[in-house]
Amino acid sequence: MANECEHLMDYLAGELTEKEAEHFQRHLSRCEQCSSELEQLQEAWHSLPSEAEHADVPPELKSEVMNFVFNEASAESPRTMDASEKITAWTHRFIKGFAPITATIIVLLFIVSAGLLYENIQLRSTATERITNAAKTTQLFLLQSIVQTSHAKGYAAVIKTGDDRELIVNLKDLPILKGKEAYQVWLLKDGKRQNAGTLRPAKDGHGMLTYRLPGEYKFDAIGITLEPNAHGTKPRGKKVIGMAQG
Amino acid sequence: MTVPFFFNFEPFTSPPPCDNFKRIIEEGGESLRKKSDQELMKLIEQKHRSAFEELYDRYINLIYSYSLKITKGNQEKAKEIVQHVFLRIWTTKSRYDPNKGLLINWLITVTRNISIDFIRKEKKHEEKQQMMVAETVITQESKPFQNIHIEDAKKRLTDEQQRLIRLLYWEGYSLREIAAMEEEPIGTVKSRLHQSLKRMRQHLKTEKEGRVDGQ
Repeated sequence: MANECEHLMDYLAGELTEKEAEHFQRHLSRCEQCSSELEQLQEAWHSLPSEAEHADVPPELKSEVMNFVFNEASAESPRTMDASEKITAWTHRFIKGFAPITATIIVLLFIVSAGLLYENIQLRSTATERITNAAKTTQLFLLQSIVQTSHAKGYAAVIKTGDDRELIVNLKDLPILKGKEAYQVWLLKDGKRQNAGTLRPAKDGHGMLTYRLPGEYKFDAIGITLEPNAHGTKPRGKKVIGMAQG
Repeated sequence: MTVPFFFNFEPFTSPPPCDNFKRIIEEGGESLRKKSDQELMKLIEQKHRSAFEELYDRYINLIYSYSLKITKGNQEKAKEIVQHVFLRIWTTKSRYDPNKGLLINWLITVTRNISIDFIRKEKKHEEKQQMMVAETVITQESKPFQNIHIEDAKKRLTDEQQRLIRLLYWEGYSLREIAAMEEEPIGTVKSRLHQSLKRMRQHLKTEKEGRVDGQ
């Protein structure tokens, strides 16, 4: 109980919260010493206001007070508190209405959604980056076999990535090659041929080649020849694949 | 000034309608003046406006003087405090309980609470100025409000004891703040205040008795 008795001065000075004060009042009813002490202290405490010197009340104060009270109290009828008290009351009600666990869940949800939002933004910016850097197909040629013994077909595409341009040749159903034979890709510009690399198909007849186009180089047509080996600088074998007509 | 009885007649909210009826009939300005504090407060609870004005007339001197003292003579602030005190009296749900003492003490407690709220809010803004400026303002002609006993009783206290009481009672410092200012444990501050108040009370008592004997 000694602990409770320590609150006597806080109680007298009005420093306890409403709840604490109620609690202390219950203590007072049980603790004789406290209640008799309090009585004595209050005698002195309540004599303190008489230190105030008598002041003449300004005559206009009464109407000011009455206007203030009745305007405040009736104009907004349920409003009996000032704004800050109202906010406090609201906050209090809000906090009261939410059990701590609910609050925790809300906080967690908030964190999770913030995380998701962040990730989403990250993804979006990465995606945007990709799109701006994205490859664009600037030219596309369908390719097909021009010899009757094969049904090879596929395409050639020029992919532009930033300032770079790349030729991709993708073919399937290519006849299997013998020995060192290789398919060679040629680009045609104004009747001039330009070697764009060689390819050897896999066992399933699938062959692919990429070739980095130099500078501003442009071409009108593309052809593929069957070469005895991959080292030719000029076409030696016959053309086996060309651009599909129509 | 008479108030038509239907104006405040609330048979559903006031349990003894006959009493209520009688009381309302009697509520002329003259009869209000004869009401006890307790009766007045009951009427105010029932939102009786003339009773409220009567309360104002009875206690404005005290409340205003008190507010002026606690604001160190600042009339504008004192007025503002008075307005809020009466607003609280009109609207508060924590009613005056006659079992807990005189109405005057309740009113002063309300006034002190509101004043201290004001003072603390202000302190946050203008920590330094307040003390010096305001202390010089109380120069207006003034007579002792109640009696000189309190002054005598206070003189029996040491300066230190008087200072503690002033800090707590008039300047709105909390016990915790005083402890911090004094660099003492809060328990020590409390027991020093306790002793000071008891000593004051002792002197008030002997003086009062002395006066009674003298008469």
